[in-house]
Amino acid sequence: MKRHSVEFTVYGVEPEDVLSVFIKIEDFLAMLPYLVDYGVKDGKLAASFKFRRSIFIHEDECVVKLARMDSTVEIAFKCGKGQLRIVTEASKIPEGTKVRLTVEYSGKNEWVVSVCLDEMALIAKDYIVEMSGSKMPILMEMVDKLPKDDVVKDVFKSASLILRSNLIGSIESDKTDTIYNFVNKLRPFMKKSTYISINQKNSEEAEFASRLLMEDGIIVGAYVKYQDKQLTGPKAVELLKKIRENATINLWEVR
Amino acid sequence: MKAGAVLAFNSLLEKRIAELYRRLSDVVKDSTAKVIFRFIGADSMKHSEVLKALAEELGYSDTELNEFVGEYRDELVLLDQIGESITNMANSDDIDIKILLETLMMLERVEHHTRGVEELLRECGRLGDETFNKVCRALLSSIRDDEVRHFELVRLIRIFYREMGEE
Repeated sequence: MKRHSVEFTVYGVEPEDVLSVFIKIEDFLAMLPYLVDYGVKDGKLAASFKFRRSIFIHEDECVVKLARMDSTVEIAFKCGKGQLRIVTEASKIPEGTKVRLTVEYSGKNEWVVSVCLDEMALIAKDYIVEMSGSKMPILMEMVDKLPKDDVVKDVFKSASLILRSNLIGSIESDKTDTIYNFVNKLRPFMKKSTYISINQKNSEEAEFASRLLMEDGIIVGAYVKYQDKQLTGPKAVELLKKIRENATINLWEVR
Repeated sequence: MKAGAVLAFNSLLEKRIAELYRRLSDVVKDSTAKVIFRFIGADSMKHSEVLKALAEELGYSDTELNEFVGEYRDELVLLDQIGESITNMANSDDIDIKILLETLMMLERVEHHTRGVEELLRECGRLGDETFNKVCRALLSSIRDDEVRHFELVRLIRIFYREMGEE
């Protein structure tokens, strides 16, 4: 048997939120790599896989079964040449939910399928994080203030961060969603230490500007200027949950 | 698109921008702002050299280069205005914070306006051979990232001076 596991935290959600992402099993199957077809066949949900290692290909047709236990969801693919299982275990922790996701395969051509398991696990992880409504965590023990608010509030300390950072990417936000949600969508791209600068588009007077610092996926510093308000810390994060603006969001990896 | 000429023209623009930052660093009193302007100026000079090298490799004529003067009129006017503002500040004993803020605002526009680089990045695939394409793309991507950094830095310095002016 070949197996690949990943462990991760989904912040600000309950285990039930994580496990319920599999209720719409077809949506989950649709994003799985190496899956080439799926649908109901003879009254059963069926899926076809095509795994590839270099020039070697392993193809198989499987019947899909979903089983839900207390804190676990197991998706079993009973195939003609072997069995593939995706097991998701969710447990509650103070920050949200801790998840252990395992993808395992036993059967013919394990040596071909094994190299594909890590990619399947990583994509399943991204799907869970996105679909369970993961929230960006902030350090909860400090009520009014975050440890690096002073860094993002100070323009020259922020400039210093930019000077020792690499640009990871930029996106444009619009008024269809809040700035907070736009930033949250970028979480898969964030690094160990990420500085985020948000500047309102087409406004030289900068009615809205924000700077965030994240470490290990947690907001450790937040500053927002919006109209006549200037906020830092958790209050700034709360304000970002209300603001909908056309802005440029730049992500920087701090070295 | 005459890629060589666009690169050469953008190289000249970067050279002028580098000069503006150098002059601005002489004008401002704050040592941190001074150092950051020198850094951006040095970066712009580096961009100018890189763009020039790429342009020379692709080849261009002076006639082609002159065609861009009209196309880039807005940018050139903006650079002239920045130059005049810096001269005015350099000639007065105390910096007029309003003029400085306007100058920084114009520089933000310059850094935000990287259409030459963006256009060239799109065209990269058609330039020279495969190795040249890859190098060209890598260099232009790096320049584009630097432009975003410059924009952010200039904006932060403008916020600093605006807050200082409000106090």
